[in-house]
Amino acid sequence: MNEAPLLQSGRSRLDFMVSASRGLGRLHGAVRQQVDALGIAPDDLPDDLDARDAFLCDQLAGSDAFHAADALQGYLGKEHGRVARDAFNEIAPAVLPELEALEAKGPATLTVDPDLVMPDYFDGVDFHSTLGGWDRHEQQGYIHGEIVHRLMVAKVFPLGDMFAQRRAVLKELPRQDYRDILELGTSSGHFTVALQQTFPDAHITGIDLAAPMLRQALRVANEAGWAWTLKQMAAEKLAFADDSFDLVTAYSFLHEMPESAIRAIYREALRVLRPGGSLLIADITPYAVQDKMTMWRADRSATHGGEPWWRESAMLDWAAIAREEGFADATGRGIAPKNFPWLVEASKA
Amino acid sequence: MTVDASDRERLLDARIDKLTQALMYVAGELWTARDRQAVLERILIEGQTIAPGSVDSHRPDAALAEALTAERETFVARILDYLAPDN
Repeated sequence: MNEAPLLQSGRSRLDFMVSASRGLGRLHGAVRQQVDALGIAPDDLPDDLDARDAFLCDQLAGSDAFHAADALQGYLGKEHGRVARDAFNEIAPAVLPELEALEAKGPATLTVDPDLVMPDYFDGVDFHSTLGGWDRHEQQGYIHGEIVHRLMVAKVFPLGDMFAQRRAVLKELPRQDYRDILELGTSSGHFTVALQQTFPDAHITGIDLAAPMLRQALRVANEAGWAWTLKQMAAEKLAFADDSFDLVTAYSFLHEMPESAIRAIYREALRVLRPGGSLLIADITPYAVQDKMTMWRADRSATHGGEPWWRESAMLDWAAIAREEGFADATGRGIAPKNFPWLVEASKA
Repeated sequence: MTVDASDRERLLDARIDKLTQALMYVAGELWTARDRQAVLERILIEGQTIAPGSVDSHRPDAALAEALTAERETFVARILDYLAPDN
């Protein structure tokens, strides 16, 4: 898809967000140095996350960088969604005809479920501090996928090419012959693209709760000529027959929900997988494999960054839960060098 | 409403946070105006006709984009140097 043709005001505001994000990175670096200088050993920190946060906030009370980072993160969290939405609204008259034509073009299909009852963990939640979350704006898929992700996040992503990372994860799969793939939490289709590029002969089904996100995935597929089947559906209540897929996968999805939903998703994934089929989940690094200081930084960033379920999900042993829900061989491991993303791999016996 | 000393300190911190965020918003708008002026100057220097929408739709070439990025990074760094001299 061509880069969003932003007007000068939208482009320059987004550029400012990128520079401010880089500035935030420098402030975080300064805070890290100050924490090191305090001589606090990670093992000496309180176990309880809230107590640890209170302790470190107290220790850093005199740090200008710490307070400025907090304020700047609050600004970026709230403002990035507004800037991206405004930038889109400026170009809407120019791009909407093309977006609508792409939706109608085929060969991909999208089935929206007007009767879908949104789960409580999703409904009305401002994910990533974006007002209204994933389905407030009719064009949230384009706004998030093509403006926030491509023109902002990709420029400040700390681990290199965020799109190459999605392709790299798929190289970890044990088989190369997947024909029917189900992606949970398709969103605007960035991981779906990696799936199709890695398995060009496979048929891909993608589901998501947010119809505006799926509409963008539909355009991405149609533009490339990929016959994705996209359905608005909850991953914990899949409307597919048993033994329908030979790969079920999700990227950066499970940390957006509570444990009960994650368990239900594992049960459903096991049901719809064929015997011998694979499960691959790629997501955030669990707190259990982080030292206490790294965990504090991640938790504070998530808590202040519009991630309502991050802490609950990051404290889970996702592989153990998968085993409890029926994936007997489930294992977890991180991708070097930062243990990110974290992979849960399993198969159906 | 009465507040004790620690509450006063906490509220003051929260208000400084809000002020900082407002400052960043205004800085973003100032940057957008600076960027627009740079684009306008570029169009004029190149002797092009200014038509409705020509500044809006102008895409900086690599050289201008690089210059704007350098200027913007310095602009943000200076704001942060005032907010956090210890960064």
